[in-house]
Amino acid sequence: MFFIPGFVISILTFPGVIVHEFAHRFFADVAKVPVYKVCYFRLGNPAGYVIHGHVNSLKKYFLISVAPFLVNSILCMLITFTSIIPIYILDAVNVSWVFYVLLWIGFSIGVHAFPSDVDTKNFIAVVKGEKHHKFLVILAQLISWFFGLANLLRAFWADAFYALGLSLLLPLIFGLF
Amino acid sequence: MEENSVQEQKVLKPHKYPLWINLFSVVIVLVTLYSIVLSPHYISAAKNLKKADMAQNVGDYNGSIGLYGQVLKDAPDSRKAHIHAAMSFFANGDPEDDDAGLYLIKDITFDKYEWEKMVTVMPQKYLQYFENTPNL
Repeated sequence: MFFIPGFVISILTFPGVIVHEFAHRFFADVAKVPVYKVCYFRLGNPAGYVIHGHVNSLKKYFLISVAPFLVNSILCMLITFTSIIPIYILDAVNVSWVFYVLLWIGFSIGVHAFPSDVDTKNFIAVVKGEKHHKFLVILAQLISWFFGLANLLRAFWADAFYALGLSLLLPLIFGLF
Repeated sequence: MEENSVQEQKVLKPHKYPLWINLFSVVIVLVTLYSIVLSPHYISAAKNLKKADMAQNVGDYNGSIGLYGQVLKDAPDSRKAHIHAAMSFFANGDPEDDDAGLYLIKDITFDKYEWEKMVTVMPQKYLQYFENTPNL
């Protein structure tokens, strides 16, 4: 397993960072949670962030934390789908550069689907503090464990493998392999 | 995403985004729609390719030729369809189809595995037309 500095990955996959932060901001607005500051992309760690006010319910926190994961995942699947077919399934000879651009954008978005360390820690803290909505708490607990594990496995390229898996998911569902 | 309880910071107007973010969003939406719009065409080609491979695997060479033809109609530069259609033309037992098979693989570069499979069905007289073939 080789190491690539985070800022290099962020530069190479910047569309994913922007989509992720935009989704946080958008769903914070939807949840009527005040947003104070947004950085959609920068050369630093983290590559993007959203500073928002206190979230007073697990449902809202769920929306703000999990929605970007779903948005990035779905966009990755849809955008890479059409490129995967000519490049890997049909083995086309003269593949237009447009398909490689689609593949890059879609894959970049998929790589940034997982919530960041900070997202996960905040989410776990909110889940622990929640006393009501038993079902939602169990679901949130499971999701927080998944996100925690995903963050641990980032060192082993879990985010890249996740994006790769998403890219292959629709062709598999359609039975194209 | 980070929480900050410092309330004196100015709250951003909900759903008001910078112009470049709006433009970026439009690009992402267009790219997604482009991929979705193109997908039926490529799904059809990939499904026909799979059916053609299955037909070829069970020895239905003429059936597979028709299906590979459908693939090549949707994706004329599919290397895989060219190679496998040629193999079906060579393997169907009709020598009159051999030239059609040869025509399909002109200018095609094979990898070792593909070439190994191809020489099992390709008429010997055509081997002279291929250069730099891997050592088998």
